[in-house]
Amino acid sequence: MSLLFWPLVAIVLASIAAGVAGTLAVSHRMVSIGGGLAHAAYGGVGLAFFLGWAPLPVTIGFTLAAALLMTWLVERSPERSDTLIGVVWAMGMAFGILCVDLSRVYTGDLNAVLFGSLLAIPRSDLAALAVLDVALVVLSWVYRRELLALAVDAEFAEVAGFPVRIFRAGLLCAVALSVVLLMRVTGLVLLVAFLSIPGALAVRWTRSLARAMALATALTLAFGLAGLALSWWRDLSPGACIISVAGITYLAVTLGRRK
Amino acid sequence: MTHAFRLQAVTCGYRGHEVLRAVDLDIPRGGILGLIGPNGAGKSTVLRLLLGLLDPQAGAVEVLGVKPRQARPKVGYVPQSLVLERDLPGTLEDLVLAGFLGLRRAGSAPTSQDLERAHGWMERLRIADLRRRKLSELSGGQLQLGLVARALVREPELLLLDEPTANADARAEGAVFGLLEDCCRDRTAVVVSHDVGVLSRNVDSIACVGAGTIVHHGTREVPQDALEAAYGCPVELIAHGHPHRVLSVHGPDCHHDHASCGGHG
Repeated sequence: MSLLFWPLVAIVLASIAAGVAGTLAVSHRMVSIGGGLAHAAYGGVGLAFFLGWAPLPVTIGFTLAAALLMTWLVERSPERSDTLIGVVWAMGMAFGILCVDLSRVYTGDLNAVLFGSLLAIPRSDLAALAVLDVALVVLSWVYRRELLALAVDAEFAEVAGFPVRIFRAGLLCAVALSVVLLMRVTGLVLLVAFLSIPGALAVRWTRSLARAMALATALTLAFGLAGLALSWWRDLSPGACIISVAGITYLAVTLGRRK
Repeated sequence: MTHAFRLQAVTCGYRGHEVLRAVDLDIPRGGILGLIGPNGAGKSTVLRLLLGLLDPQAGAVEVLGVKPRQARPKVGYVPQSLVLERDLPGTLEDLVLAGFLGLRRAGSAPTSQDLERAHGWMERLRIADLRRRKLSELSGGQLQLGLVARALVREPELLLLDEPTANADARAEGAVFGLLEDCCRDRTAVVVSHDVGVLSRNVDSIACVGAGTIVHHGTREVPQDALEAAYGCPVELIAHGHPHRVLSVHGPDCHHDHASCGGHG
C-alpha cells in the first residue's frame, strides 16, 4: 500500500493541474504553445545538468523565460505564430541536448524527463505541484468570467479597457509552470496528451469553464488510472498505455459525434 | 462637447499600405450614422481608429472629446463576426455579461442590477429565451444579436457596429435597428455596412468611404456620383417604388462584392 500511496498522490495532483491548465489551454487555443513550452523546458533541464544546479528552479526559470519570449515574438513578429512556436519548440529541445552533451555526465535521469518518474518523484516536487494546484483552482475560479470572455473575444476585451496583455502573460505563465511541474510526473510525451485530450473532451460536454475544468480533472484521473491498470495487466509502458486510452476515447467521441 | 467623434486630416494604413489619406470627418452627437463603401475602402479602419486599435500615421482622432483609448469605457463595439473555438464552455448569457468587462473590478461577480440590465437588453433583442444556450449551439444571427446586447449593457455613449446584420434575417435586422432608433435619441451609433439598402432604411445620415477618403457625408440619399467615386465604376440606380435601389455589377475592372445596394429611390 505504501508503495502505491505516493504515486497515487502524484496522479491526483497531476490530474488537477492538467485538468485546469489543459482546459485553459484548449479554450485559449494554447495547446501548441503548451507543447512548445514542454519542449523548451527540456532546454532548462539540460541547462541545469550543464550547470550542475537543481533542475526544478532552473527549468521553471528557463520555461517562464521561453513563455515570455514566445509571447513577445508572436506579438511583434510578422511571422505566423505556429511557425514561431515551432522554432522555440525545436530550439529548446536542441539546446537541452547540447547542454547535456557538453556536460558529459550520466544522463539516466534525463529519461525521467521524457517519460516521467511516477515512482521516484521527490516529495518536494509533489509539494510544489500541490501549491500550484491550489493556486490554479483558486485563480481560475475567481477569474472564470474574465478567462471565458478573453477566450471568446480578446479584441472586445481590449477595447473594453481590460488589461488583456497582462492577463494573457499570467495565463501563459500558469501554463508554463504547469508544464514544468507536470513533466516531472508525466514526462514530456504524456504531458502534451494531458494538456489537450481531457480539456478538449470536457469543453464539449459542459456549459461553464469551472465545470469543464472539474470534468477535465476527472477525465485525466480516469485515463491515468485506466492506463496504469492496462500497463500492469499486460506489462506494457504506462505512459503509452495512458495516451492510448485517452487518444482512443477522444477519437471514438469525435468520430461518433454528429456534425 | 458636441462631437461624437472627429477625424482631423487622418492618414493611416497597414504595413506601408495607405488606406485613408488626410480624412476629415466630424460627427455630432446623437443619431445613427451609416458608413458605406466597397471592400477594402477603409470602413473597418475608421472603426479601428475610433476604438484605439490603430494609431493614425498623421492627423488626430478624438472620440467623445478625448483620445480613443481614454473613451473606451463609454464606447460599445459590435464586431462583424466571432471566430469561436468550437465547444467553448460558455452560454449566451456569459457572452452578454462580458459587456461589463473593464467597467467592473476583475474577479467580481455581476450584481443583480447587472443581471437585470443584461436580461433587459436580451428581452428587447428577443433572445432572452436563448440565454442558457451554449455559444456553439447558436446560429450566426443569434450570436450577432448577443454581440449587440453585449455592447449595449455598457450603456455606451458611442456605439460602433461592424456589419451588425450581416448574418441576420429580416426580423433580426428589424430588432437591431428598431432598438438603435430607440436608444440613439441620447447616444450615437455608427453602423458599418456594404449594403446601402439596409442603411438607407435605417440610419439618419451616411458617410461614404472610397479611394482613401470620404466621398460623401450627409443625407442618407447618397448621390450617384459619390457612389461612383467610392466604388470606382459606373453605378446604375433603380427605384422600386419604395426606399430601395440597386447598383448593377459593372465591367471587368470593377471587382466589388455585390450587386444590390440602395438609397432612397
